[in-house]
Amino acid sequence: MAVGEGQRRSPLAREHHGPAGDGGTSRKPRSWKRTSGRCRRTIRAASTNSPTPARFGYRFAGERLASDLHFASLGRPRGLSSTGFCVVGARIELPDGQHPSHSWSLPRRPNDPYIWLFEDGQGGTIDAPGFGRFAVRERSLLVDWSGATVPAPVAEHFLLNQILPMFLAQHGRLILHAAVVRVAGVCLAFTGETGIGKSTLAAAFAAAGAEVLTDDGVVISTEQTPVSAAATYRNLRLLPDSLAHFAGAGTGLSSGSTVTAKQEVALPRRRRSAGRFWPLAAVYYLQHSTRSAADVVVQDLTPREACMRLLGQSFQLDVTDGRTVARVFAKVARLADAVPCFTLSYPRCFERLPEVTSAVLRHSACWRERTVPEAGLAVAP
Amino acid sequence: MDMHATLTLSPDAMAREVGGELVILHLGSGTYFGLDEVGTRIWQLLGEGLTPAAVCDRLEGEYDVPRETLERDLVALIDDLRLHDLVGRPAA
Repeated sequence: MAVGEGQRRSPLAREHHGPAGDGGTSRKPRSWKRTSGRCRRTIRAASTNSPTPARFGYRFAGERLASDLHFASLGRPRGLSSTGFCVVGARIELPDGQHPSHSWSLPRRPNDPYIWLFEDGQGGTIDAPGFGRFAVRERSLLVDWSGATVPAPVAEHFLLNQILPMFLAQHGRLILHAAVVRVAGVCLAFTGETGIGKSTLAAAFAAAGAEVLTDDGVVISTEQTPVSAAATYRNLRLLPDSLAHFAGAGTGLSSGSTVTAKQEVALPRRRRSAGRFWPLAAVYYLQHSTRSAADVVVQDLTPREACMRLLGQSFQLDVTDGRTVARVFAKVARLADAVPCFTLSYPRCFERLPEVTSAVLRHSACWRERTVPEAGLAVAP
Repeated sequence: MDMHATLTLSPDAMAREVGGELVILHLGSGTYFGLDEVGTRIWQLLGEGLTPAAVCDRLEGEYDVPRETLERDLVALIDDLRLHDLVGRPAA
């Protein structure tokens, strides 16, 4: 009789892009544009006690964001909305005499934390030396980049890929660390530990004709049936060897700016799909092949197994906040119950990636058809 | 282990049933655990306030398994749950 199973990984073990991954650079950030002028939303930054006008409107993880900061990665700003969340530039001081309640480390340096969370009685203050300070204030996220030493695009990337997902998770949103591709009206998610190959696999799907929605963050809506997913924002970054393989291979992918050790890839513009939720047909948990022959192997996960793996890939700010954790936990459980989840292992060589994408498309055909009947067989692998 | 002492489930343990099995999240440590169908049943019975001995009695009627095997596996599970602070010491 099988009984206990413990998994010691913390839900806080997230992908981090630390200074080492950025080449150890210590260049000063570009000057940050603070804007003024007419504002439709005004947030009072706690530490400065001065009103900060929001000027730019964005969509992120299906939410409306108003901000006085310009985010190049989020595309052309939209109009401001009276609903949604705010991201506001401010000066942030750490709480006096407080010890951090949590810390985050890079997977490859588990004893060397580089992000600290301080309880401040207002929502939490996050200190990430070199990347900035951040404070959660109800539906506003305060951002202090005055002490940032990494280049501006890296600081922005850190905010969009680490801090904002945690902030939204604190408001009950389920955001997973996953790549998502859209195939004939439904999407497939690929999750797994940092460095397992999500971005490269996403690029391989682009080469096979699928649309890459994101390679890093996906927000999951479990309120309706079918469960659906949207990119936090359109993003694909590849390591130089992956980019060299895919660029110019008829994929429509080309290199953009260098953000971290990875290079940002300019994705083909598809306005219809930007920020939209799509039915989620299946989730694949990427893992290294245990077979020497390294075949493409897809195996079922039970809902319990899936739930545990997905918890490990979900963003959370404060796991001791029972109410918020309960909400996210419930959503992960609903996702694991409603969407078929599988492990996926495959040979790690570029030449065999078409074989991998074909196998996944064949495997997912019935799930895609079940999710959206008219979408199922319309895809040529 | 005293088979006749009641155990208390940790207030830090947040459990949710998924596909007939249980996933438990420990709020204090941020770690999570899974219990299969049998482990889930044991967790439910412990949560109802049954002693380990009473849990064995109940499971003996539900599963076709020798009492000796049942007790051995139950003790192993409870030790594991205690190790991870998912159940408390026997109530006084």
